[in-house]
Amino acid sequence: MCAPVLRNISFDQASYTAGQTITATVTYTSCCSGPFTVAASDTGGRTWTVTFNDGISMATLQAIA
Amino acid sequence: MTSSSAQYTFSATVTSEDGFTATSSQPFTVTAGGTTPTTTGIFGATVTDKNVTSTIKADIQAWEALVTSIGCMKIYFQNANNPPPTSVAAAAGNAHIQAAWQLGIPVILCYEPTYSGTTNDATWPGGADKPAQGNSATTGTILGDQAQMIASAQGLIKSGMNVLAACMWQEIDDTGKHGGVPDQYTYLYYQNHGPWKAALPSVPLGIIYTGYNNPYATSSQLTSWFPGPTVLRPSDTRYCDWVAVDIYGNGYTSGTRYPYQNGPGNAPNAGTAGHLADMADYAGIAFGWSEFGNSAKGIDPGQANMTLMISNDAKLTPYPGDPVNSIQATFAYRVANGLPCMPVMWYQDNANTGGPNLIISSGDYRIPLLKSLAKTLSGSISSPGLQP
Repeated sequence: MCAPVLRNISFDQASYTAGQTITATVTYTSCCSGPFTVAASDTGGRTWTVTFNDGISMATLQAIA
Repeated sequence: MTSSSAQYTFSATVTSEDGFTATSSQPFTVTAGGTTPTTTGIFGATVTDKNVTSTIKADIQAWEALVTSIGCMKIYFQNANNPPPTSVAAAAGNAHIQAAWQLGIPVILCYEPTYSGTTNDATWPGGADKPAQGNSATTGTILGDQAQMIASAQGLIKSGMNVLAACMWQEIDDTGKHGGVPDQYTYLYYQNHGPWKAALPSVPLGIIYTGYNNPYATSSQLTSWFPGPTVLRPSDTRYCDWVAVDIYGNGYTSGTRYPYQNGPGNAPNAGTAGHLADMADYAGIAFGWSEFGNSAKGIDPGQANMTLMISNDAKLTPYPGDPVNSIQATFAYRVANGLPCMPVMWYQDNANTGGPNLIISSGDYRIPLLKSLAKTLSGSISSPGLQP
């Protein structure tokens, strides 16, 4: 068993103007070394693309505001 | 201006190789209906120590505990760091990048290209023939440096860093920093600004001056380093997005190194554009105060003059000690009038033991002044899309 624990979600700005790129950073931990995949969605139906994932502790995702 | 905003909920799911998952959510806000950038400004500080880099993170946290949270810090690239790292992991040797990333502090990246520019270009002042520009794989050429700088910023962003802005070199009018002449420096912006903006549209590329070595009174010297229109060269094209200055208390109290020549809102005298906030407003770009403290290397001006410099917002009075050009008055004016702002950043070098810029005790007279300044700017924190 290798369950991840999602520790934090942060954004690169306090708020966004329509058309801007949103960058979200997701950090997580686990008792094993992974790898882990990360996916995201939001209530506005945006397409979130994983731009970086170290497979162990963090990933960044981007979408257009 | 913007018209309305809506809040959405972002949900992320982490899945392990054997199918276990964890999900969490976080709200974010999108303002609709406007493309005009909001006025931007962030109170920050660069807390550094070249001698004991292992304590940088703790040093930053200690400063934040005493004063206020840090909204931005400078990252200085020295020659030993070129080519710059292209990820946080690759920056293991740069404690300041690591600390900024770990603490979530936005950064201004100060790059030092290996190529100093040229005056040998018929399309630019001072030369006759356009030189070869190299290629993206060749260090020491404009295109080689350009590829490395862009890869660096993109890599750090992908690592989760908030890259607020970037510049080439810094304190540029201190000619020892760049080692060249103004035309060489502006040539770098002429060549790099367009490709940089295409690759990194949300990371404005600007210029940092110093207020120490070259008084603002020598306006032709300051404008000669500026790749954009000024009252002295109104037809020039703009190849930068912001301008900032490092001015310390000792320079400010000299009475010649103010952001506005005649105070905020008053036009500069005809033919002079050496005051950097005047220059920024003329070019229509953001202005920031990228380092300040009591003294970079000169005499500590003392509490009374530091109070004037940081917080006084009284009416215009004769030089020296013009309080209308205080940092708080300058940025309160800019915020109130929708003029774009770059960060205002204290500078504390912990390697300089006993130095006049160290804030290390709760009774320090500068703490309430800086808290007030941070409050002035707090309502203007926004996106890094600074240029109009």
